[in-house]
Amino acid sequence: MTLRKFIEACCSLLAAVALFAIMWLTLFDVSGRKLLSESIPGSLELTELLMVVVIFAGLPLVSLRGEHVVFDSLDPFVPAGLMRGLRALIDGLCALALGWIGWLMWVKGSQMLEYGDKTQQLGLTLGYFVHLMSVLLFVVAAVHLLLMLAPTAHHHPGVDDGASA
Amino acid sequence: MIEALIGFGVIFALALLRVPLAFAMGAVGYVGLGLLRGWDASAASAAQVVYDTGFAYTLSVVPLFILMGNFVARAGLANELFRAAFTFIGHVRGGLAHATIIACAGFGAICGSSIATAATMSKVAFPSMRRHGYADYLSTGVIAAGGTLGIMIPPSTIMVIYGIVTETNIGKLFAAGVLPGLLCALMMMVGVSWITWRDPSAGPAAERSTWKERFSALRDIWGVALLVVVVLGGIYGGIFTATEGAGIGASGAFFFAWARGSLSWKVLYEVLVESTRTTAMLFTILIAATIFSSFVNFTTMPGDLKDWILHLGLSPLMVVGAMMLIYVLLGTIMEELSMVLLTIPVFFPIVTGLGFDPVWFGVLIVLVVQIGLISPPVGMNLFVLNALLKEVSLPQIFRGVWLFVAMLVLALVLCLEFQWLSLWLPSFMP
Repeated sequence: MTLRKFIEACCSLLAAVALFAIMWLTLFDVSGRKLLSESIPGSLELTELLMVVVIFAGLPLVSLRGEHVVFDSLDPFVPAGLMRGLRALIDGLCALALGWIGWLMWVKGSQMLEYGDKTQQLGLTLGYFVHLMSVLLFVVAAVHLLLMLAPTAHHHPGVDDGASA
Repeated sequence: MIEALIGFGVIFALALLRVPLAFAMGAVGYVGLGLLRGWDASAASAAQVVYDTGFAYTLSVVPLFILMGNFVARAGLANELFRAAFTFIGHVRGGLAHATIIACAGFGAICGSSIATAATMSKVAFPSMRRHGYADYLSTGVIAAGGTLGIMIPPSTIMVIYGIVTETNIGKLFAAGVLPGLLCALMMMVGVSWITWRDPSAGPAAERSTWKERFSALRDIWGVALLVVVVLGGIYGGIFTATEGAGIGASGAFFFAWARGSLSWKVLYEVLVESTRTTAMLFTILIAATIFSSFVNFTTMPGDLKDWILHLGLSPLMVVGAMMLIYVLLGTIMEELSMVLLTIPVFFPIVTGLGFDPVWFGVLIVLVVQIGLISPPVGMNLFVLNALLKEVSLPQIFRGVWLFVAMLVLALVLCLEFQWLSLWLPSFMP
């Protein structure tokens, strides 16, 4: 299994499970609250934590598939060699930017651990989740480094895969 | 003022150099704020934006509505919708094209995405229209245009995002989209009549259905109807919030897809992963746009522009009309969501400063996005059809869509002039 495939498999599983969990959590929480006047304790907090997983584990997938919004209408007019160089350069810069944001989140997470920030109802330690965000951002940065070496074609979500329909 | 203008200029330059738009917006916002307020403040602000957007309960409305739409698309409910519309109207000239629009409107009531609606309908309606001898340019034009009803008729991903960034009530936005959505559908049907009047061979009449067939087809769409009533009815009635409604809708769509046997484990996994990808893509833009707007808000541009425009003493409607013109022109070449998020920090304070209702402006925003999605040369819906229907060439697709672009522009003018179209239904909400 290549590194690319491995990252894709892990992040897909993580994000998919988190999203499915949010769906069930919302269903049970809302129906519990409306029908039995009893909600799931801490369901809002759990949803928030799961949202972090959905978004940040989904991000490497978006980058891997080249699904970020880019202005590519001029592509046919740019010489192929120049385009390859340009894209490698851009992926390098994206990796730097994401790595930097990842680092900022790492620092923020460490601060929160130091202060001992916890969620209100369940008392979960928030800092770990911010560190998770940061790690996943580093993964996205790594993905862009991989893309520098072997770029993927730009991919319009729902357009280039008939599957989305 | 100058700083913000330079910021916008740099974003466009980076975008032309093929930097992903989200990264361009985020980087410009970060650097801009760093230069104005110092690097520590800028770093702290960026980290806070990432944190706040990540840990936000109300934002779970986005992936849940996306998930609902994807489940519904897989469940095959679109077939029944199209068949029901077909049995009623298929026998008139251009009837299948009319039926496509009606089915799109119905599908739009359970799906919040234009691309998903167009893609689904291309599989359901196109083969049928081709079998009945419809001209390809009419078939693709009507599917591309009908697909945009997905974002006007609630639920709507674009409305959700507009509601989030402008702190406008999402339930009210949904209610506001109903009449303009029906208006758009009506305008499109006028467009179809015009085309088939000019060129009757483009859309020949199909066989007439019996009343028995009609009722049996109507019975088949109860699933769609139930989902619409529960989810949208619940949100309008104040029984639940948009976020809760989205969760119920996604679960309901899941059960439908499952009960109809269209969800194997593999398909379920695909739907989930695909929805998370779309979510992550949208959130990247959302986070970047928020970082950028905290820079823009720190400059004097929103205030200067607002003062300047108020000072000019133009009629307020003309100001909004000018904005819409800018959007329609930009929308022909730009990706629509980024265009909206990029301009909101500047336009929104002006619109509210002129005393307009943010809900009404939200509807106008959705309309310009609709127009942008189908206006050549860069209209996402057209690319969807081009990718899915290999047998129709892009110039054919372009040719068929112009009239519908014009019809939507007309709808935009009507919504601009008659604010009650958008504001009447939300006025009943608490």
